[in-house]
This record gives sequence, structure tokens and C-alpha cells, in this order.
Amino acid sequence: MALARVKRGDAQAFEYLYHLHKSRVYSLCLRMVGNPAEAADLTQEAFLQLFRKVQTFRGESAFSTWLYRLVVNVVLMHLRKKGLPTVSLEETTEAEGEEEPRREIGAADLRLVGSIDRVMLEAALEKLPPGYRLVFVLHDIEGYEHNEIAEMLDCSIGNSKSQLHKARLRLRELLREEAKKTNP
Amino acid sequence: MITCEHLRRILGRVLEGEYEPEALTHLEACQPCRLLVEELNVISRSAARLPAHEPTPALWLRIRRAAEREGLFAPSFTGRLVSALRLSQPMPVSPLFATALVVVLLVAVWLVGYPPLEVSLPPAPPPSPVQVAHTELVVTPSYAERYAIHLARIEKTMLEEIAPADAELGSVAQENLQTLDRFIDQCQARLVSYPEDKFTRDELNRLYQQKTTLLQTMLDPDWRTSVR
Repeated sequence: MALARVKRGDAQAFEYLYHLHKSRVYSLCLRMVGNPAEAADLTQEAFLQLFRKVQTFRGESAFSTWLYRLVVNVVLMHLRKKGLPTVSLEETTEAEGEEEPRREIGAADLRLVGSIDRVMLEAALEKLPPGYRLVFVLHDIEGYEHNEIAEMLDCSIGNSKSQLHKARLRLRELLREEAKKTNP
Repeated sequence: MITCEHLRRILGRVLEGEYEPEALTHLEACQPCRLLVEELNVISRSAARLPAHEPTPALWLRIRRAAEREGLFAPSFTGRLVSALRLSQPMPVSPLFATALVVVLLVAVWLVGYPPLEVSLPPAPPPSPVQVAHTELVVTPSYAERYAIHLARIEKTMLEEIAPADAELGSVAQENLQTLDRFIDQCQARLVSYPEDKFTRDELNRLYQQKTTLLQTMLDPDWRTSVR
């Protein structure tokens, strides 16, 4: 019903849609760029694109999936304009075992269990490469399934799973480094 | 049984719920690999609990203005009414009439004159104590520096009181204080970028309280005696 009114250009319906989705859209932008002012600009651009393109939404997918695809495109374009490297999502799933060096096996003295706090996790997230960070934010933070992420990012489900696993491994390394600094 | 390297190659599939009996057998026997799986699960669960960030209320006004400029909103009822009431063709105006009207207006302005505009704006309300504290704590780094200098002086005095009596006790106390200081620095750095982050602010308050409790404890002679 709200969507029908938005398609007719109803300003109140636009505002309703904005307040419904603003937190998740802004959070995604902020976690991807790490800067509140840039995140606000990207959020603005994402919602303006939504308002421009809402007529093209046919209902083949959930509205939130369609909206997030739009937001992801806005974020990726912004990162490309800034010249930041984005990990290609068209990678094979073969190279998973190469991430961990052999000496990590048996290093049971830096337990992360119970010691990850929100600040540490957000700080480590900012250090992830953008490609890993995007999949991790969409899956583990926002709760999207791999088939939805694959649709948003125009990649395969296997690639989405592979990127997520690499993101978690990298986060683990970053959090262990931070834990070493606080517990020498 | 598969090796640890093999497990790590298939670990992504295992964590996604794909059934790999060899991986489960290995995990039952291998503590380091179990630790790895546990830590990855902790990361995933912690991420799911991260709160959403809220944009400032002013963002909607920016978006609305930009949408209005682009004409993305349909005109309101009032706007449609005004458009409907407008004449479709401009009325013909006699040049003589127009000239006479302009002259009359100019004469009227000259005769009446315009009083100077004296618009007195109401005084801005003074900032509330919360706003002052917020500005000082986050926006003005010198406040945190002043606080840090004062606290550093107290720490130095207390450590000097303990250290001559017991060097080991002094170093233990110093280590604990340094750990707390590192966490405090992390929270302060985060608040500079995200001043609206309530959870970090709460965490910072908790750390200050912990540090205060620790310093108070160090001052207690009974504690010093019991720790020796």
C-alpha cells in the first residue's frame, strides 16, 4: 500500500519508507566507508535513487532486497571513485586453506571467546578489505542469506560463502592482534 | 582422519552447515581446530548483536529538499489548487496603465518611506549542561587532555606511595592501570569519529569507574597488606 503511494509521488509515503529503512541503509553505508559525513551523503544518494527508480520495482524480489541492491551499488560506485580496491567477487572457492599460516595451529593462548567487545569488532571491521567487509556486513550483521547477497552483488552463492569465510578468518586475525596488544 | 590443513580448506562449507563427517571427526579430536571454529562462531554471533547506527534527524530534510528540487514528489493538494486557479493566458495590460501604476507606486514610496527593519532575534537559549559536557568531552580534545593530565598526576602520586614499599606491587598496579588506559584511549578515539555512539560512551563511563575503583583500592592500606 505504501509502495503504491510512493509510486504516485506521495511525499508522506516517501517519508514513511525513509524512516522504515534509514537505520539499516545508514549503518551499511557507515560500516563500508567509516565516515559519518560520507555515509550521510551515500544514504541521501541511495534514497534519491530509490525515489527515482521506484517505478521500476516489479515485486520479483522483496522490496528490502531490491533497496539494498541499490544501496550496495551506490556504495561500490563511491568506493571505485575513491580508487579503493574492492576484492573481486568472482573468485573460486579453492583457496580457502591458504589464509592461515601453519604456525597458527595450536596457538591456543589467545582465546577470543568472551573477549570480543563491540568497539573492538567495529574497529576490526573497518580494517577489512571492502569486498570482504560488504559480504560480512550483509550476512552476519544484517542477516541476509547467501542467495539474497548473491542477487544483490550479482555473484554466485559459492562466491558469497567464500568471501564470508575469508572475512571471518581475517577478522579473527585482526582481533587476535588487538587482543595481544591488550594482554601482552 | 583428515589433517588440519584439509579441515581449513573445507571449513567454510562446514560452517555453512554442509555435512562433512570427516570434519566432525577431526574436530572431536583436534583442540586447536575446535578453538578456531569456536572463535569464528563467536565473531559471527557478536556481529549479529551489533546495533544499527542512526543518521541525524537533519538528513531527512536534506533528502526531502533534494527530492523536491528534482520534482520527485507529486504536488500537494494546495499546489494543485493554485495551479488550477491560475489564468491560462496572461491578461493584456495597457502600457499607459502600467506606466501610471509604476509612477504612483514610486511616489507612494517616496512620500511614506520605509521604516528601517529592526528585527530583533530572540537570544539563543544557553546550552544545557549535557550539551556543554558533550562538546567538551568529544569535540574539544583539550578537555580530555586536561582530565588525563590530572588523572596522571594522581596515578603518579599513588604509585610513588606504593612503589618505595613494594616494587612488585607497584608494577602490578601499573600494569592494570595501563590496560585500562588502553581501553579508555580506544573508546575516546571511537567517540571522536562517532560522537552519537551511546554504547561506547557507556563503556567509557564503565572504564572510568573501574579505574577509579582500582585507584581507591590502591590507596587502602588493608589492601596493600593483604596483597603482600
